[in-house]
Amino acid sequence: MEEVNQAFNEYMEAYKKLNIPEKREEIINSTKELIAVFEQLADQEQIPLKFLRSREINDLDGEHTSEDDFLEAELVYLEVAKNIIGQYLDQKI
Amino acid sequence: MKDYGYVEIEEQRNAIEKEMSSLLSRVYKTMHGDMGLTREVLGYVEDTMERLKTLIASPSKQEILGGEFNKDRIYVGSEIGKEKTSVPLYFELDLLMDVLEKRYMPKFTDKGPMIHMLQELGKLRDEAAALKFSSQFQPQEKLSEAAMDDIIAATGNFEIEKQTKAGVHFLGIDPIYMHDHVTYRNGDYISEGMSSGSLGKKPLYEKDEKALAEAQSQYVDDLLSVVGKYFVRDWDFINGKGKFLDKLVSYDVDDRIMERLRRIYELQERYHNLAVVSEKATAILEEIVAIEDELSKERQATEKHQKAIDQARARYQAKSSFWKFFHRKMNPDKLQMESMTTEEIDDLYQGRKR
Repeated sequence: MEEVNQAFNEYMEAYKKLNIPEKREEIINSTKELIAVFEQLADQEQIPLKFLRSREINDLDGEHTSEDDFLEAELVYLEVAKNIIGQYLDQKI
Repeated sequence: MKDYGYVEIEEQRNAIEKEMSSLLSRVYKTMHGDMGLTREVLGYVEDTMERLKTLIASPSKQEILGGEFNKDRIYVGSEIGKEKTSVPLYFELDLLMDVLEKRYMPKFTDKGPMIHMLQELGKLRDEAAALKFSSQFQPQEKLSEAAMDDIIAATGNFEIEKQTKAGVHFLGIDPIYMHDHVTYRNGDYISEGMSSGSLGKKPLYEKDEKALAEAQSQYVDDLLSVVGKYFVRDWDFINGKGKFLDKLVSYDVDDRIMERLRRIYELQERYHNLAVVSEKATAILEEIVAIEDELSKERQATEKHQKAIDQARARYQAKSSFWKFFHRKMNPDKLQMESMTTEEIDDLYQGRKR
């Protein structure tokens, strides 16, 4: 556990040096990875998933993404993740 | 004072200014505001454009937007500060389009009305620009003594009188410059040249001719190398005039650089004299180069940070339980984050880097 914690802290140190848009992208991508892993897991086990949809994520496409845009999109991704994890666990447990 | 025929077009000129000012005010006011208002703004902009089109198409449009320079129609005295050409309108429209496209457009899901409006605004802007660019100002035209007397008598201001004379001598010439100087003597454009000691400054025409030619040549080289990156060039240095038409290569230009490009452009449009423009614009060019250096360093830092986090992330993921589970139970090659669901999400993911 010590090793992973050290690696995580090094990752966080590198993260702290990013600018705000890069930090946002890192967070969004990390959330997407969570979604993608569970999506594939469900796919492998042929568990159908239904995804929440919101146009708020489209605001990330703009040239100047505001703090509002980022927070709204991140909430969408988090809720999408929670929703599909719930569906997956509901079938498995 | 002579009747220069100015008053008869003043009302229309003011109408255009008022419309544009109100239009920009509304756009800016709602730019950071409630998105629900943007539909209203769109309608407002379109209504205003219709009124502008009517004004521009009026019989006096050449007068309103610049038109032929006529030394008998120099607007002076009590009218100082009211002379306008198409330049302000042109820039107002250009600025408005920039704001709408860069800051408003991304906010709209349905971009159709906005695209249509930008096209219409573009036509309007091009019309204003074409009128201006087709004008034949005469930068070498000297003011007559009578005209000078008119100016001085009308102003009744000794300070302005001194500076006006200095303006004429400074350029040998350019009534536009002189007018601007009087009008904006405390403003950005003029203060460096005239108000802050220009009366004691060595006049341009007394400078060494060879040195002056070299300085101008250097300026043109600098302008081409610095500004040419951002604009499609269309140059005209005939008779000492120099200007670039502002067909932007890309809107992806740093705001600070864009602001300076506008200043250079305005200088060229105001003075129509390479000697004057080169004196005033060289410092701005140097500022642009400094900003570009700064941006280059920022980009290098960004690349360095990005490389560092990519490596740190890989090391962390190699040890994290989440990814260990993933690699043990699943096929990493099949991880398809792009397959999430709708086309909208697919589109969004296309720009994803990793």
